[in-house]
Amino acid sequence: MNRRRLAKVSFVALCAAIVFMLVSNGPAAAGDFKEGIIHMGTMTGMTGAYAGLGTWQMWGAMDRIRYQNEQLGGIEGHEIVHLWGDMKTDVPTCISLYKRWSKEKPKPVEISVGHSSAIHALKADFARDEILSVTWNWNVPQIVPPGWLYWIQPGYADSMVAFGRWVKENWDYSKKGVPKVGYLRWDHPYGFSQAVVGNKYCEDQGWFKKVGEEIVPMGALDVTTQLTRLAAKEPDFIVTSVLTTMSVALKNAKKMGILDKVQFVAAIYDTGKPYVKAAGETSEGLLGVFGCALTNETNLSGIKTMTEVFKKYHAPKTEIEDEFSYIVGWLISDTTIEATRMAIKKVGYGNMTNKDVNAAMESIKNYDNGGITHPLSFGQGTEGRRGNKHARLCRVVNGSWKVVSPWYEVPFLKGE
Amino acid sequence: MIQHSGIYSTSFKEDMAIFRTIPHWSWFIAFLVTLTVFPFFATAHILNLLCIIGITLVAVHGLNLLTGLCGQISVGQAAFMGFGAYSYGLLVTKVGLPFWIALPLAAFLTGFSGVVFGLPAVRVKGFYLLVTTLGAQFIIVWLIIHLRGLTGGMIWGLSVPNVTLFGYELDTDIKKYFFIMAFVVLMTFVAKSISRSRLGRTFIAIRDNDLAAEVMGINLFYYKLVAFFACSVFAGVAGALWALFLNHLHPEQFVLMDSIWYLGMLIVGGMGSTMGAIFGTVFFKVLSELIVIYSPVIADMFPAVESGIFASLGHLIFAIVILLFLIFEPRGINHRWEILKASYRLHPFAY
Repeated sequence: MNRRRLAKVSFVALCAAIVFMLVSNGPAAAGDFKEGIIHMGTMTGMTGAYAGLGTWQMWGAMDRIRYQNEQLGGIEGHEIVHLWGDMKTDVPTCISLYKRWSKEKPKPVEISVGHSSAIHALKADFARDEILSVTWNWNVPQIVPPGWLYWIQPGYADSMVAFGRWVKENWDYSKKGVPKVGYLRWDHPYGFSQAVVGNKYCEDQGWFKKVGEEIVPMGALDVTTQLTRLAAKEPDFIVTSVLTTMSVALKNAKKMGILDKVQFVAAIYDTGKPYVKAAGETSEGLLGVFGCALTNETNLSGIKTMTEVFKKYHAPKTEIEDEFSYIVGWLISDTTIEATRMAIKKVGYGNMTNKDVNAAMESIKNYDNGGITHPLSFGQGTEGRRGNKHARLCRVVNGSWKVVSPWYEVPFLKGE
Repeated sequence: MIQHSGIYSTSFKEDMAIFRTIPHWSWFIAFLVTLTVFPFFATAHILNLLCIIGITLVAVHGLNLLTGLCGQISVGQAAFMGFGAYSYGLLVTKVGLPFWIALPLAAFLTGFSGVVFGLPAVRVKGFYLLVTTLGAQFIIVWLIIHLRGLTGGMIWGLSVPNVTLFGYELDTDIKKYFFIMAFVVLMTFVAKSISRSRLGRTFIAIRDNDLAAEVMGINLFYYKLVAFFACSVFAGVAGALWALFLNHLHPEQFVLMDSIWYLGMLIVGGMGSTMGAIFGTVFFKVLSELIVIYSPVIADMFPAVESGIFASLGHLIFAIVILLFLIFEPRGINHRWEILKASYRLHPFAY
């Protein structure tokens, strides 16, 4: 290609890019915001192993902030500037993003990090820099000892108690004896917490007993061997905490002829709609543990707003495909916005420090987010960091989750 | 090495010197001064990035000795780094050793673990060796996860205290930077020295033709294990630096993908040369950082396009960069650098 032709092609490409930018449904006009912005940061794994979850988490967080700016005029009139980035499920990238964002002016009121290991590594930094973090994953060390980290979902282990309670209420112990539970889990805090810590609590209550525990790697394409070993112990329930492998487990179980004999239960975070979709008809009847509402519960004001916002910002998409991840992202932004709003209201934007936002977060009691979760309450100490202490069970009916239990209050299980 | 006309060595010592001319020394001193002065003007973010580049560079130097010089491929470097990090962490927290004993001891222990996993290298090579080092990646991480009582496992991880040097705690970004950079310079010097020594030439002989090397009297068994040992010692030092940089260890910090990227850094930088390891590491880390910084900016310019697409740019660009290097410059950035230097020295003549 000669220079002249190259210049022509480059010029056309540049024009096309500019036109594309102009016709894109660009960000809303800044509106009449008051002077002074508020920074909030979100980093999730939009590429890499967790990309399927991370992208939806990010969209949830982004959409809630955009909605606040465009529809509600920011927080008490102040625009939220969203700092976001792909942390690539890579600890150095998380640390790097944190270091950059934490020095922004004004200091971000909150930075959420979608990587357990990075959160642990940054916990001291959050406290030192006085920046809140509402977390994406719910491992005990995040809030033991309590710092500047908050949960908006019950812990991985805690949520198992909801399943135990449901079993207790629905199992005929007099006829069938104590139910037997097997675990198909990932070798990770997510997986270990349910099968070891959560299970121990339920066993101590006499709700069920564990008969087996099998480890499966993330992204496994076949778990027949593990299922065969579990099936030999004749469990009544098999709890999966394997993320992408849940649908594989169900399909393998169908082939092995055990799907009708065992009730499969997806642990919290394992309930994503894409997994249900991938499992197809084998997901019918699957039980799942949820710490939040479902996107088809449009009678709830919070869900109604969320689904409308999603349709508006992501047209032509109409369905929130990974509802759990999206809702968690939405909740993180929503809760931070509420705490910041309370802090501004109390001390004024000009006087507000992150200590005020932290104090406001601790003072949140029975916060109604439109029914997206059971009302959230925070406070001081480890127990106060658990804003959401409730979980419930849902069942897949005709390819969609349907609620089958009330909200159960679940205790904090510290484990080892 | 091509030198300016008129520069002659009159002794072997002079011939072997790394820095031979006044401009060489001037550049080196200017570099050290920059390295010392720069942090006082840099942001925490930049300091953090430099520390990560430095630590990664130490690990890549080690891999360069094993893969670049000795021709023994390994995809377990991140795991060896993890071994070093946890060894250091445990020696400091459980045994109570000071860092100046714990760090070399952790490096030595990691070197020994490298020898254990390097044993198959005596029997197999190429892809087969790659698979055995893959085993190291899984076994080491498995041990870290399941020796929960010692390592804190997957849930708690292991907290590592700051280094205290003569009663002076290295608790800020800038203090950690100086500490880490001192080790980076030292390990770079060691790597360079090994590559120019008898040992380095032995490694090269094994890489180029192990049968011929054996016929010449080189003990393959011994030297391949030495290469694994040296590589793992570097990984051990990198791991220990990582532990005192982050103060918290977790098995997820030492994943297979990192081991593969280390190889990618070597390929892009130029295998078999110390400068290649430096070029590759800096290039990858800076490019990665730029992509993380600018992908949201680009995404905000095109709101109609899903943000996830721009977030994926990083992987796409990395893949393209590696492909282009393999096609157009398989000898890496360092080769281009050598050509550039030669052109400058020979100017105005073409050759």
